[in-house]
Amino acid sequence: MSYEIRCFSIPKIGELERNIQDRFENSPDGSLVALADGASASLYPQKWAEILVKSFCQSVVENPIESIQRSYEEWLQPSQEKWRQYYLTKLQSPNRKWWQGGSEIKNRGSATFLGLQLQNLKHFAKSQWQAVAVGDTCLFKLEQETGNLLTFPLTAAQEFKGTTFCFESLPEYSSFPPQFTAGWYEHGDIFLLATDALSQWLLADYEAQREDWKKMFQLQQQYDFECFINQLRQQKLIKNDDTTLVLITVTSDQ
Amino acid sequence: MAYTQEISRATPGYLVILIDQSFSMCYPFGSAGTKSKECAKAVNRVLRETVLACTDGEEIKNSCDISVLGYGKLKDAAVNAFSGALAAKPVVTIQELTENCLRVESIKRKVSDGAGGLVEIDDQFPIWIEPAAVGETPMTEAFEMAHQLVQDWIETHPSSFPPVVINITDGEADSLPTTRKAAEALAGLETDDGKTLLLNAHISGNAVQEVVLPAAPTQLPKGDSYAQFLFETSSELPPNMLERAAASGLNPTPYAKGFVYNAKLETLIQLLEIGTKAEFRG
Repeated sequence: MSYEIRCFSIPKIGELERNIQDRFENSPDGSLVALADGASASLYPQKWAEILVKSFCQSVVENPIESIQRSYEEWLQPSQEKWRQYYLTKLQSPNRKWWQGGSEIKNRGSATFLGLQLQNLKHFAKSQWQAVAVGDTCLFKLEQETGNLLTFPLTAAQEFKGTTFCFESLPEYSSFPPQFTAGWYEHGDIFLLATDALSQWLLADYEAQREDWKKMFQLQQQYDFECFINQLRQQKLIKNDDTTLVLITVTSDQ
Repeated sequence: MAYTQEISRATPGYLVILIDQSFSMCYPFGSAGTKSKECAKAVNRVLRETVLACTDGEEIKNSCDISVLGYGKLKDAAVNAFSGALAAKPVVTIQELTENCLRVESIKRKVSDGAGGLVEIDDQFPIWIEPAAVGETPMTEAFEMAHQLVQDWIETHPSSFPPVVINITDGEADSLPTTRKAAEALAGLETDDGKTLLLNAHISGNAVQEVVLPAAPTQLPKGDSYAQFLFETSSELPPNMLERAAASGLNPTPYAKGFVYNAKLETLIQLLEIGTKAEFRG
């Protein structure tokens, strides 16, 4: 099987595209994808989100999810070291302005994280997928047979709060233990990854038995995505936040 | 539901700090300072933390406007307490505040290098407000000046989180009836998200009982009409400030007011944190 991956992103109202705190990455063959949402109140959240997704998708071990399951703290260490060196370089820069480099209290980055691994069993109709997540960046999968929507790790719109669990960019601060799930996928399946504002709206729409959420699975162009999100924002149906959507469509190799 | 609007570039907030600069502020306060020095230090610290909250380390985001007014330094008037490049700007953006401090003081700090060693860096503390303790207590004029600024600000930010006004004083206002009227008019100004929040911090260097975030007049010192006045003119804390107060260990009850009386230095700092952290710092 092969994977068609599309990523759409729009900054929160009032911010520029370069300020988007969400970061997405996928491995060259598409079997590993990751989405992270940097906490804007933390230090260098963009950099931390970028380090996390790259670490997952450029993993030298065959199954990064198994590594995380064995010890998420050990898995985080190389990423935390990269962030620390970035931080120290900034702190020791001779041109550093007083407001750059955080403070004694604001001294680390935080980010939610969602990683998806698709195992590709070439001679089987169905293959296994695994996911790992911390925080409110969510995975959705529409079950073709039942029409049900699988959601992970949050399963209800009311679970979304102002603050959420994160991976921290320094080992001196406890990262929240991630959650894991797994399932089977086949040709024609679509995985949807979304950061919190869109995830919350999607779940609320699904819970209310409306149909607009299904449109997310059909999006093809960034322009259509922006129009849709801007409309939701105008109707005050979605939080004003950086919003990122990733669609992974499983296609046949033929 | 009121007091739910987020603070961001799209819907910035507004913080107004009023500082009593009357003569009695030169009296001792805290472990080694005077009320005016410790008050200036606390305000500079809160301004620093607010700026840092509006940056991710790379860029400043103008998600908050700020005013700091002093009263008592200039006879019967309230004035912009900023000096230097900000002296002519009673309302400043975070960007302007960041770029125009009077000076930066440095303190060395050690951070881990991740390999068991420590790296020494300079922690930098900008100074905007200098201590002052000169004249009387024209609190009415301070509230009136704040009223004008808040009213003008709301006209251009009708949907924003309501302005937060924090008044720091150590003594009695020159005229309670006029000050009450001015305070009530100020707290009556509102955006679509609710009324302006007025928090009062009365500080004292004496060994007297503190009153912290009272919810009822019965919690005030008996017969103290000034405490009664400040209690009545203080706003009830909205849910996010109550949460912040609880998180800092103050155990507020429902309907608690943003008011501390005979406050020690630590309590003053806590009230400043409550008034700013929930809204302006994420």
